[in-house]
Amino acid sequence: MLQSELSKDYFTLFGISRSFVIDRDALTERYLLLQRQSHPDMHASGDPMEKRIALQYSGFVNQAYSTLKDASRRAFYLLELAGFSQNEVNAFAVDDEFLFEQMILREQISDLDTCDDPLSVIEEISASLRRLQADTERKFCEFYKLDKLKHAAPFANCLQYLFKIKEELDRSELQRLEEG
Amino acid sequence: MALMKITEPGVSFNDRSTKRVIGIDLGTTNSLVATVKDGSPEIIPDKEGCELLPSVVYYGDAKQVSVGTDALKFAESNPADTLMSVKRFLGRGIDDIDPETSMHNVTSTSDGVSFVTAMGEVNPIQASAEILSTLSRRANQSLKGDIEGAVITVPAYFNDAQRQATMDAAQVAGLNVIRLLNEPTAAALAYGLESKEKGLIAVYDLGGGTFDISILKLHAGVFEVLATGGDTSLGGDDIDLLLYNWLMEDIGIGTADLEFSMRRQMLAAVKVAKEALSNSESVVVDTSFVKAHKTEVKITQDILTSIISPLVARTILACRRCLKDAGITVNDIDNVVMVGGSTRIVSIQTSISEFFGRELLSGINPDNVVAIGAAQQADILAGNASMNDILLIDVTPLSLGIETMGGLVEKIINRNTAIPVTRAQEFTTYKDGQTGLKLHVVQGERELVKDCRSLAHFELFGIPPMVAGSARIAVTFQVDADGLLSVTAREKTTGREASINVQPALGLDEGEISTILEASFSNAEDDINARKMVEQRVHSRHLLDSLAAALEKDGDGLLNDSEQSEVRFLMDKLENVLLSKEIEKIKDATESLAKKSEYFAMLRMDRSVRDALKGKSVSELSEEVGS
Repeated sequence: MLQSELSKDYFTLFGISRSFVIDRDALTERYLLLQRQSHPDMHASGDPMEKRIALQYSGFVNQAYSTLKDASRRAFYLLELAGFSQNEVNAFAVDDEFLFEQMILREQISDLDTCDDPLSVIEEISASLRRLQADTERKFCEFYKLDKLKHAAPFANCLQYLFKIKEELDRSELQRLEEG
Repeated sequence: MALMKITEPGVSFNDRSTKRVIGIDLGTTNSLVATVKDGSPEIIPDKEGCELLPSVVYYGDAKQVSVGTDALKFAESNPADTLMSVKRFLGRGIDDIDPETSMHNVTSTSDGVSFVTAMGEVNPIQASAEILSTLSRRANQSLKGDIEGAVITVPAYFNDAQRQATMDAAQVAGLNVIRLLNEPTAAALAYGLESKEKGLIAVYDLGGGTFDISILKLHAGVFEVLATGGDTSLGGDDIDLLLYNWLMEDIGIGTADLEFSMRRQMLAAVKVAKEALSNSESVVVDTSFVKAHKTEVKITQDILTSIISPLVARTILACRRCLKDAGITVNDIDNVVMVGGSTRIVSIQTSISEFFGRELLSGINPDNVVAIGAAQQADILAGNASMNDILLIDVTPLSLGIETMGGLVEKIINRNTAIPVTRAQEFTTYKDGQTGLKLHVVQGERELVKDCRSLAHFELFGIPPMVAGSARIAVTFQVDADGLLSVTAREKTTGREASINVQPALGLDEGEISTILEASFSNAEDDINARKMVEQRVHSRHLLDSLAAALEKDGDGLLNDSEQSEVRFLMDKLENVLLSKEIEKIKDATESLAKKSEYFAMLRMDRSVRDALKGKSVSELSEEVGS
C-alpha cells in the first residue's frame, strides 16, 4: 500500500488526539466529512482508478470509525498502537471480582426462562451492565493515562466480556419475544 | 465542494449536461421505472399510461415472450409458461422453494433453479432480464435516447447471491448499472429529500415478496443506515397464500385437488379480495368455479386481521431486532416510512403505528416511492442533481464468514457493518508442504455452516511448500458500495500473490452470461469487437481528460518535476496509440498510465481529506468517560 493517510493510525486520520476518552459527536462529524471526500459515490463519475482508490479509502474510514466508536475495540486498538497484539492483551488475567460479577450476570441471563418476572430481571441486568461498563471504562482510562499499559490491559478484556454479555442479553431477549 | 471531486466539472467525458439515467424498482409483483426531469422525479408510464408493469413473463409456444399485462393474460390458461414472482427465485436454490405452494414447474440446475416452459428451461435471471429490458425500452422511448445508466433497487436483506443474480439480469438486459440500491434506503431518500426531515427514520417495507426494515440516521446531508433486517420470503404473496389456505379450508377443498390453473384462479380471486379490503369492511369471494359446498365466502376485516397476525408479528419482531442492532429504542424514532403495496392493509398500518407509537409517513404512493428514490440516486450519481451534497452510507445486511473446523462459521464481517468495507484475515497451513488452501465463504447469522447460505468455494493454489503453520496467507474480503463481495488472497512470507478460483455457488459465471447475451442479441462478432473498441476508447479518453485536469490543478503542488514528466510522457504515449486501431496496445498504454498515476490520485485524495478536516481543531475532550 502507498504511503498515505491510509497508513496512519485512526486517531490521526480523524484528526483527534490519541486517547481513550473521545467526543462521540465530534467523531461522527469527522466521519461524515471523511466519507464525503472518500465514498465511492462521490467519485461515481471518476475513472476506474479513482474509483478503486475511493473504495479502498472509504473502506478504511469505515474501519477506523467502527473501531473508534466502540469502547472495547477502541481500548484494544490503543493497546495495539502501543505494541500489544490482541493475543497478548487477552493473556492478561481479569480480576476475580469482575469474573464473579460477570458469571452472575450470565447465570441471570440463562435463568431468564424460568424466572417469574423476566422483564424486570432484564432491566436489572441492563442496569448492572451499564454500571460495570462505566466502572471499567474509568479504570482502563486511569491506567492508560498513566501509561501503565499492563495494568490497563485486563480492563480491555473486561470491556470485551461486557460487550459479549450485552450481545447475549439482546439475543435472549429477542428469543423470548420470538417464543411469544 | 470543488475539492471533493477529482474530475473537474466541464472536462467530463460526456459533454451533455444531463445524463439519461433511470431508477428501476424490480419488484416481486410489479416493477417500475422512474427518472428525474427538470429536477423532479417522475414515474415513466407505458404508452397506455400505466405506471406499474406486472412482474410477469410469458414464454409461450409461439416462441414469443411477453411481459407485463400482456403476459398476465396467460396466468390462468397457461400457468406453467407464465412466470410470476420470479424475484423470489433469484439467486436461490431448489431447497429454498416449497413445491407445495409453488405455482410453477421448477427444476433444479447447477445455477439454482429453472422454470420449465413451452420455450424450454428459463432461469430467473433471464426472466428478470426480460422485465428490465421492457422497462429500459419504455424509458428509452420516453427520454428519446439510449439509457446511460440505471440504479436498480434490491431488498436490503438480499444476500450476495441474490444481489449478484440481479446484477447478472441487468447485464443480460444490456443495462449499465450505476448502483444496486437497497429498497428502504431508496424510500428514505425519496422522503428525506422531499421533507428534509432530520433525525432517525424507520422504513417498513412490505412488498409482494420480501419484508425489509431499516433504521436510518439523516444528518448533515448524509443518510447513514444504522441497521437493516428482514425476511426475503415474507410479503404480499404470503398474505395471499394465507388467505388462500384459509378460504380453501373454509370451502373444504385441498390444494392437491385443484389443477394449476384453478389454483391460479383462486389465488387471483383472493388477491382481489385482499386489495378490496383496504377500502372496505368486508368482501365476498365467488367460489362457484370450483366444486365446493359453498359458492361464496365472506371475508371481513377482522378475519383478515386474524389470518395475517402471525405474519405481522414476525415483521414486528424483525423491527425489534433491527432497533437493537441500531442501538436505539423505539422512542428514538422520529419518522416511520411505509413502503410497498402490502402496507395498504389497514390492520398492518394500525399495528405498525401502535408499535412505533406514532403516525406513519405515507405522502408518497407506497408503490412508487422506491422507484422515485432510485431515480433520485441515479440523478445524484450521474452528477445531474442539484442536491449533489446528498450521500448514502449503507450497510451489509448479513454477516460474512468462512467455514472452519467442524462445520463452524467464523465471522469475518458482521452484519450491519457500513460499506464499503475491507477486512483481512490471516490463515495458515495445517500440513507440512501444503500448497493449496480451500475456503468456503458463507453468509448468515447462524453458527453452523449448514444453517448459513453458501456463497462460494475458493481454492488457493501456489503456496510455497513450508512447515505446517508457517505460511501466512492474508485473505481479504471486500464488500463494495453495491453490497457485492470479492475475495483476494496473498501469501505473506514470500510476498507472492497466489491465484484464486472463484466459483459462485449460485448465479451465472461470466461465460454463461455472455452466452445468454449473444443468444439474446445474436450479435455478430464484428459488432461485439466494435463495441469493445468504443468502450475502451471512452475509458482511455476519460482517464486522459481527468488526469489532464488534475495535473493542471494539483500537479505542481503534489508532484515533483520528474514525477510530472513521467506521467505526461505516458499520457502522450496513450494519445498516440489512440490514433491506431489496435485495441490491445490501447489497453496496455491505458493500464500503464493508470498505474503510474495511481500515486498521484492517492495524494489528491489524501489532500482533500486533510482539507476537509482543516479548521476542525482537535476536539475538546469531554469530561464524561466513554460513550
